[in-house]
Amino acid sequence: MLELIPSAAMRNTFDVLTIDERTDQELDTLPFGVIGLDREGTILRYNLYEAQFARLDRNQVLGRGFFTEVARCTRGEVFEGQFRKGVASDATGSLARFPFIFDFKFGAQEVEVEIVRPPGAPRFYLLINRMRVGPARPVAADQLAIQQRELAPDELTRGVRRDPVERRIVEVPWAFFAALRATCDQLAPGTWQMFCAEWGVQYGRRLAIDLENEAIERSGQSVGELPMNDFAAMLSRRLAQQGMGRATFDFVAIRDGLLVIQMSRSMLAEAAPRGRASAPDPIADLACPLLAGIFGAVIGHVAGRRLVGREVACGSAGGGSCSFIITGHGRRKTVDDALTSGVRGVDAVREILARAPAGAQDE
Amino acid sequence: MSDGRPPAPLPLIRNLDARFVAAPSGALLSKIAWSGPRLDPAALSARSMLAWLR
Repeated sequence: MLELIPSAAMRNTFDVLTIDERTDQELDTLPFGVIGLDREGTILRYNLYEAQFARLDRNQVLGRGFFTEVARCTRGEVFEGQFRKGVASDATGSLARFPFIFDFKFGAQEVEVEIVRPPGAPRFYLLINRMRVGPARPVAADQLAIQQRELAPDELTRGVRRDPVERRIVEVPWAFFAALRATCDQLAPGTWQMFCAEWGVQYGRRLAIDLENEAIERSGQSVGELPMNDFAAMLSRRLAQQGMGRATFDFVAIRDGLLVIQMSRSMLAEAAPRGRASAPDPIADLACPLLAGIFGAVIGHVAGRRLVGREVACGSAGGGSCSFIITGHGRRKTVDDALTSGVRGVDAVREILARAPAGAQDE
Repeated sequence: MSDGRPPAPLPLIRNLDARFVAAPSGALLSKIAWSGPRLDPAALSARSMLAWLR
């Protein structure tokens, strides 16, 4: 059986008993479902992973009864009964751990559930580890978990759009990104790249959770277990679907510790000013730090350690496609210094990294 | 990995063919330039392949 979670792996770095101290943003980057409940079972917290697997919008589930309204398939002794028993006991720590099958209209999900009450915390937590997904089982309608369209039946008339797996989406034209870049140049010349790179990292961590969802639904494997080509195609396809451009993975420098990604028709590069630079800025020609951050975070998630993504040549400078490198975080300063001093291109940066003493590349 | 060596052990594929073909989806063009033992992105897991990043 597939071991996706963290019971073992994640716990090396994450103590579930501290979960109540974690911010919502931190919970959103965890590769397992987290649901915070009060004593009555009302949903108080609901992380991104759970929302994506359950295909529910957390804004619609917060404040609702987990057992009575949202996950009706959990009613009964096996799941709700163990929760009620744990609440009544006033015990803390891990209260129960058991296998369960969630029945959704779109399919069944074999999971492992852990009920946790962190010491001193006012909330109880359900940790949901997806083990396997499969076709829907023939169960009565009132035994199925609720669907997004049942939670908010009139949202289409309220300007809400969703994709086929119920994620809320927004469609924006090219000018939205041109306006973002203009705002960056105007308000933060020379420093906006840092903001956009971090934005990319934050989004990349969430995109990684999304890709985990896709991987387990398609193949029953976590992203890291997929063949490298399949993972690369999955990430490339996702960015292309979003209209960001087309990413091609190049492993030519992998033995030098570098992954190279070429991005053709980058939306960000094409939204950059082409005629005249707005302010002196040594890296103003590198228009895609958002993408660099995304690549670094997604690939770092798969690699299981901290990596850094940097754009080393940009199509906005007239060179066609954009080039990115992904490498260990310890080489960040070497790469950034090279880019700031005007070095451009994969080969030039690769050469500088090859010359840099190993010790100097560590943090 | 600060000594410049790749992490070990990794399953190497001995194949001197110089270039990988595109993935069936056409989304991927993996160019391999060296002629020694190589890492095959079609055969290696993403996690194993990315363990080479340093």
